[in-house]
Amino acid sequence: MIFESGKKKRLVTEYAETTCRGCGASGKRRFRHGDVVFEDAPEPCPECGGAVMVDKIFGEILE
Amino acid sequence: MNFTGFELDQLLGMGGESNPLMMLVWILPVILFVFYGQRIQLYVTSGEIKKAIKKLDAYRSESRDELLGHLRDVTGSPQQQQQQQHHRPSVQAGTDELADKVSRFIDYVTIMPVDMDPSGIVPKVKHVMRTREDVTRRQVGALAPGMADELQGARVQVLLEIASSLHMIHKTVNHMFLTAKRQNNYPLILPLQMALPFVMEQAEALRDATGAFRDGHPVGDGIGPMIVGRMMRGLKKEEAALHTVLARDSYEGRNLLLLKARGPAPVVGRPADAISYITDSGQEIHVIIMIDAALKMEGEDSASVSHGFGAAIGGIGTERYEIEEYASGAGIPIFSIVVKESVREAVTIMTEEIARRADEIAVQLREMIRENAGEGQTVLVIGVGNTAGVAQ
Repeated sequence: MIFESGKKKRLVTEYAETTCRGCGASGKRRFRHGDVVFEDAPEPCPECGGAVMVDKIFGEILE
Repeated sequence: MNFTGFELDQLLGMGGESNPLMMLVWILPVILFVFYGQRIQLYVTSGEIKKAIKKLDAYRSESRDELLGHLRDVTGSPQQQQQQQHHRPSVQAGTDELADKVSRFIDYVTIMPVDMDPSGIVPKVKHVMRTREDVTRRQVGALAPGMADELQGARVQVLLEIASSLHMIHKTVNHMFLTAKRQNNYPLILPLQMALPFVMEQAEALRDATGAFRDGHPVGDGIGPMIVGRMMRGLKKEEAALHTVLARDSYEGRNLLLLKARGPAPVVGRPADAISYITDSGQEIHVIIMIDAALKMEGEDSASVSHGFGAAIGGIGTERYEIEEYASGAGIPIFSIVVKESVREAVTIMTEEIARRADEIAVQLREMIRENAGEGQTVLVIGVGNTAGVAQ
């Protein structure tokens, strides 16, 4: 078949980007179950200890 | 007689004179291909299609097992299930019953209304699809009585849809292959051979989608809800239709009505019903802007953005029809912003490229609002797509 597909194995690593509601500090870490975009993450801001919101969740693909 | 004394040139007919052995070597394959060519091609093609069917079968089983595993996870242990449903005689029987029910749901068929007279078919299609959605939702609830919340119910429903689609793809491809094979009909297998790469692309995308929806990741299709969800943050939300939220805001003298599916459940909402809710309340709409993901063409860059006109919404077509019907009746312009993605990107975890495009699109959206609506006018902004993993 000319258009043989699906031969490459996709490895996806999930990340969450966070922003502190208080000081605005942003960070990137691995995705954790329960993370939802625009909702608070369980951990406090490492800079000011304030609430941290999940800003983006995305996957980085290695083929 | 000396059998070893021949010359190679003479045997291969290179000596200038014709050689009967060489003639046979050339003529036999010609005769073979004239009479059995199609059958030979059928055998060659069959091997490739068989491999594809085997893969499709594996995807189908994986998605079904994934669904069953997820159902068992969200409903608690088999012992808990047994306590909840007294009629189950044993744990094994309970899980078997669950598997049987799941198999039955996966095999459900949807019979579309007859289209010999297409006038007035949209409400009929809508009725069939709504019935299917509502009944499936109820049955998913009955399937997993211990299910924690609506979010889990919606996830199970999406996983069920995926398993059902993969089951149907496998069944259709297998049917076409076996029919061609049974009748030794090569031309019958040609359309299948041509369509198979596209079918496999779809099937692989669906297989990969299972993990994203199970784990609550935002998918590429969620870019529209993500942009509108960001604009809704901190605003009061009201339920405009089933699984659909509405927020009101203002921007440079324009009134904004922001609409999206209610996340983080993997739902798409009912924007057409939400428009009826808005207009029934006496609210006038002057401009509609829809943001959605669209399939990219070959050669187009992923996450590239296009602006245009018309209702940017996929699905079976009933929502789009109703939005167009309302807009054309009221003379309201519809503008659209579409983000180009592949099939796989649309249903698997959002790529970084697409996620990073959200801020840029929000700026373009504000520009579009300024350009197309005057001060005091009302703009309805709809974030179209599956809002899995995206709140508001």
